[in-house]
Amino acid sequence: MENNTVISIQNLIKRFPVGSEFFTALKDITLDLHKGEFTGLVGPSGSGKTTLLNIIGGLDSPTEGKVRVLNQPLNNTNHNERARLRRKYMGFIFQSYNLLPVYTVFENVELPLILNKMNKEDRIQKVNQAIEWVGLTNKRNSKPNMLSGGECQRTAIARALVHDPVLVMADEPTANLDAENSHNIMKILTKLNKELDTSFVFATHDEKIMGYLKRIIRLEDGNIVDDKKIKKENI
Amino acid sequence: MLFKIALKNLLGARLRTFLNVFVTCISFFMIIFITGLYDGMRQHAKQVTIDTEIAGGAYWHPLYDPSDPMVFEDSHSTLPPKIKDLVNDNKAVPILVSQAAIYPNGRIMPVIMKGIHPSQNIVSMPTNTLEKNKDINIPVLIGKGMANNTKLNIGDSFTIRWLDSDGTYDADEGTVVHIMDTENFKLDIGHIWIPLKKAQKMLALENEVTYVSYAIGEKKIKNLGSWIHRDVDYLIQDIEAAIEADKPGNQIMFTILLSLAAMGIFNAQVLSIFRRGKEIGTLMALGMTRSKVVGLFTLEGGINAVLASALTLFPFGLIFWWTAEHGVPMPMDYSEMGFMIAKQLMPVYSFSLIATTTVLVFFIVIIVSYLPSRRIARMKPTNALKGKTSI
Repeated sequence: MENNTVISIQNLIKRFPVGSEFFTALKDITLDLHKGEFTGLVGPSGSGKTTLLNIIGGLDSPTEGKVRVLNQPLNNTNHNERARLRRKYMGFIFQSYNLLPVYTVFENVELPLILNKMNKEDRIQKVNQAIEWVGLTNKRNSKPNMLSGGECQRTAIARALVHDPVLVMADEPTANLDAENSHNIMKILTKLNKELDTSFVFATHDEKIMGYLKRIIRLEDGNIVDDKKIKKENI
Repeated sequence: MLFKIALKNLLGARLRTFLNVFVTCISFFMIIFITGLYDGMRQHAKQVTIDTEIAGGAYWHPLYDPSDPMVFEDSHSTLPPKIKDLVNDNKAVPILVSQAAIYPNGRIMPVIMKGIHPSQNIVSMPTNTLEKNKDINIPVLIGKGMANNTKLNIGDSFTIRWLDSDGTYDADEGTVVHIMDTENFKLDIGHIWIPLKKAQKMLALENEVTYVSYAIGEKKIKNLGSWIHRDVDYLIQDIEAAIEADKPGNQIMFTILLSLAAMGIFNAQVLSIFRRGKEIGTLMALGMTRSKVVGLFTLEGGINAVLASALTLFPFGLIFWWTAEHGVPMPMDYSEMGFMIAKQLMPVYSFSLIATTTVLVFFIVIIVSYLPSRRIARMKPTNALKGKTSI
């Protein structure tokens, strides 16, 4: 595995029980993702992109094959170790934002830092910085029900990035947003990818965001059918 | 960390927290209130017996046995000097007990006839009404229950028949001078009260009495001869025994109330926790371990119970105070049924009741918070994230 490899997957197979049968969601996937990459797992519904994302994030386990994330073999790690990996080095962005409804924007963004036991002063500074990145300074005390979809997703982005993760996983981050908000979100993520050198992995079938991706891995029926890197000068 | 998040969750979820706390609070209130009423009822029965019958204790004729009317005709004598001194100092009231029969409205009814000094103030009975009507041959004081049973009213006369010390049956006319409203059915049902001197004269037992009740605070007299000292503990032992016999019933009632409370709290907590499946998935995705998720929700339950205790103290505390001060009116008079239940029941909220209830409800809340959160935390985070939670 190269030094800048953040994810290394070899012969990954994932099967789900469906009644008495098994459905194979991922079939012999092998790939490496590198530091600072802005990668999209692209494909139609049921192609296995979310399953792959969940396995990378340690939210699900592989049936067969080897998965190493940030040099940690996920096959041999228990729940607590995977939780620690997510807490320290990963950020998640969900399609439906998954913000805690009773928390304000500030409190939602602060949560990963509390889980990482950061002291209060540093926490306030980091949260304010993250909220500023996503342009929500004037909404820091608003609760999710007072925000638009775009603002919710920007809050989720701030929450995913506030603890300086090495890897951010985004599952259909623009699926619930209109075109303008989708572009705004992708611009923010692209900018942060450049500034923070954080690796991003998207699971998406949203054509609007394809243009922002630096690498597109196309999945169909649990197989990688295409993997191409795109050279971009200016986005 | 967990405490901070739990507190934030509870304070943030205002309505949900309020409802959960309120359900727990209602449980606290119901258990304490109903058990307090029950305890109050039992304590009241004991207190009424002491106030109206026992006072500080009694000295009995050696043959006297209140549960055996057959010995009444032999259980009387003059008082030992020391007890007589107590009576003369108005620190004790002598009572002469005998069997009799009354004929109210043409019916015959066996009764216990008790002669008591009308001006006594040792036991709480309106005996002074017996001396207000000096022109009446035999003034009779009866209880409300007795009046109902015999259909006697104030001013009604009826025949009293008794056996005097010479073994001769005699009869005369008694007149009801007062109907007392007592909660102690033992003074009421099957009893008639007449002035002591009159009773002694009727029974030809001049200066003889059956027992003496002495004032609260009076010390026990030594060297009584054959007379027997009965202290309050002895005299209330039948009530204590009844209370003791009632304990399993009380415990069952407490358990039922606690179970109802547990079900209410469990429903509220389960609903609350399972509705938060997606939140639990999110916390897991953010790196919270399963044990911490369980700890968080259990802690929330614990804080919920603490808040409920505090809430119970404030608004419901006022209800507790008010009912303890003013009592709870009962819908009917139970004394005729042989229950010593006050018309205005005063609940007793003992420290042990409050402490036991608080500790038990606290543990119930902890358990019903722990169980569903443990179950939900065992789910795959991917399912929890999708909100795929089921009981």
